[in-house]
Amino acid sequence: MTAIPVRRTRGSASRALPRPGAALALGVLAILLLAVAVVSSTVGPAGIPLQRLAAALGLTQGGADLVRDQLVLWSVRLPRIVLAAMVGAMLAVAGAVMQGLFRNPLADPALIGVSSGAAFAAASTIVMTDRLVPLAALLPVDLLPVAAFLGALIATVALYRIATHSGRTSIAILLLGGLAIAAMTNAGLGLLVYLANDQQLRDINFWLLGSLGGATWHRVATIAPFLLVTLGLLPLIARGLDLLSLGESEAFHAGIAVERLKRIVIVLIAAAIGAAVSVSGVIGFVGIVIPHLLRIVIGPGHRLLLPASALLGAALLLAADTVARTIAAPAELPIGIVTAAIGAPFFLGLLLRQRTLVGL
Amino acid sequence: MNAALDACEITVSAGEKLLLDHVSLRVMPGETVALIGPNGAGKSTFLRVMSGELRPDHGAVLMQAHEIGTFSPAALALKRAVLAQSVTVNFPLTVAEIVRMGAGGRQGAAIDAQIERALAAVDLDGFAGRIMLTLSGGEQQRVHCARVMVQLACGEAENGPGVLLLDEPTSSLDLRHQIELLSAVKRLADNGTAIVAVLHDLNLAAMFAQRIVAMSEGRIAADGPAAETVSDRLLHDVFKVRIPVGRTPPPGTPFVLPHAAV
Repeated sequence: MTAIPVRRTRGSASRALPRPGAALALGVLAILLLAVAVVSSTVGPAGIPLQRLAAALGLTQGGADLVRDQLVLWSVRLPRIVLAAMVGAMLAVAGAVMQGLFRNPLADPALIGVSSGAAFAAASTIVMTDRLVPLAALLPVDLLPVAAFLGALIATVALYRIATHSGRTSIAILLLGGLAIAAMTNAGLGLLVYLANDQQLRDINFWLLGSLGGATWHRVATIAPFLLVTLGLLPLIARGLDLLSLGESEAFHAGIAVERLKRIVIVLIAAAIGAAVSVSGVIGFVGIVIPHLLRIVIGPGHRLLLPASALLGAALLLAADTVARTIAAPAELPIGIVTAAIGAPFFLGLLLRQRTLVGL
Repeated sequence: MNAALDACEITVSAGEKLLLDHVSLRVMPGETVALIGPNGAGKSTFLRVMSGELRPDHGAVLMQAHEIGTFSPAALALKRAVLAQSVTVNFPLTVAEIVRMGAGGRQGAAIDAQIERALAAVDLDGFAGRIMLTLSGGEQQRVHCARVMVQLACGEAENGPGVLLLDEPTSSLDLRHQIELLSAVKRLADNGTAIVAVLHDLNLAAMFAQRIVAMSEGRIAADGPAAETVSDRLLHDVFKVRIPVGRTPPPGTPFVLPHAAV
């Protein structure tokens, strides 16, 4: 049983894709993040020119403005810069990982209700704390990120159960299921708004729009463990997510412990989203824009895509936050508005270009 | 000689319905087996049990004398590979990246050469840098075949020849590539790999396999050499059609031409 040999097709078929190496890509992204951080440190209502920035950081001899610069830099600007970078990294990584889990580049934690789940849990904690003060005071940990983590975890598990059946994910069900979860949590948030007092109302509004305005070193320290867990789990799941892009059965056939992988991935998403939401509210579209841009340039392999997403997510959210706090200074735009204004048209464009992914 | 794959008394039920009813199959190294049968006969379910993906309610699958449930997924991947009917990929992965996934994270010049050989074996040399999403369905299927061949080669390097399970591997291929893919699979059998393929096309099955196992309603209805198994009676009893089986000139491979039935 043989086929007649036919001349092989060559020519344009052998054109290889030029993709940058891992070291180059991560190096460029790290430099970008550093550059954005330097720019962000200098601008704001109380500007710190570049030469005074070096002094305030203790790198050079300071002048007359040293004390004021140091105060602004260390207690206002740096915590916010660090927090924005951490939140951006977690949002972008959670997006990339979630897209790997659902095998589709259209999945985004903010879009499909996971962030809403976290925000609802966090807001419930605020309103209930009044009644639970004695209990909360006994706990050694900050309740807010833990509650947000649990809210994100429940939403992610629910979504997975809804959208995936015997190893296959329907992106239509995923998006619609996410819509339903977001609607439910929004109803819950509405109820909380009704129950809340004035101070609580202001705090809840902060979740609905997304803002990094309340950045402090305390908040940085609160979510640092979540960031470390998120980044620490990445090497464990990169190859599994690559194979998962072929399907759950195929990943198992190729040697991946799929159930274990999915559990790690879901915990990672919940940790990243829960921590990000607990300090910054719901910031959408970072998780969808960043991984998508990176896949075009460095390819979809998760070993590089995940750390690169962390770096670019950090840089871009920091840039967006810098815009949000300076464009209408001294007033501040909620950053969620900035990311949605950029991200929503991007998402629509993605949807139109990749209709096949949603079954059109 | 130890069987490469030994499925004993496999029973699987879904609610009240018995999908597989005490099905047994022993495949020796280097043997090529075609699983045939009408839709819903339990072929794909049986294949899923043999791959270790579906745990049977009763019975056991042994590979190299060990129950497959005792292997970790990574260890199992070095003993058997599976080629599914169709696999969709939504990310812009290149052909080379997908074929490399068969290597289970192994790197090096030997793996690179292995990938090149596998792509050549499925008539895709020169496609390594192409984006998978831009290929035709048949080309994509051949890429996955190359991936599975790399996986088998890695397993063979560590454990000796393994088992290859195929579920309708040719359904998206044109005639030439159907023949080429099955020829490439047959060459794997010549090296000692045991092959079990679910095939709908009885003519391809009769040409490809030394042994044909016909399934019907969750049981094995016939099991034997292709020349004896594909018969008028099998077509009538199992496939419920009345078509006489023809014979090629020697070696007398049976063929089925549904001319009178339509």
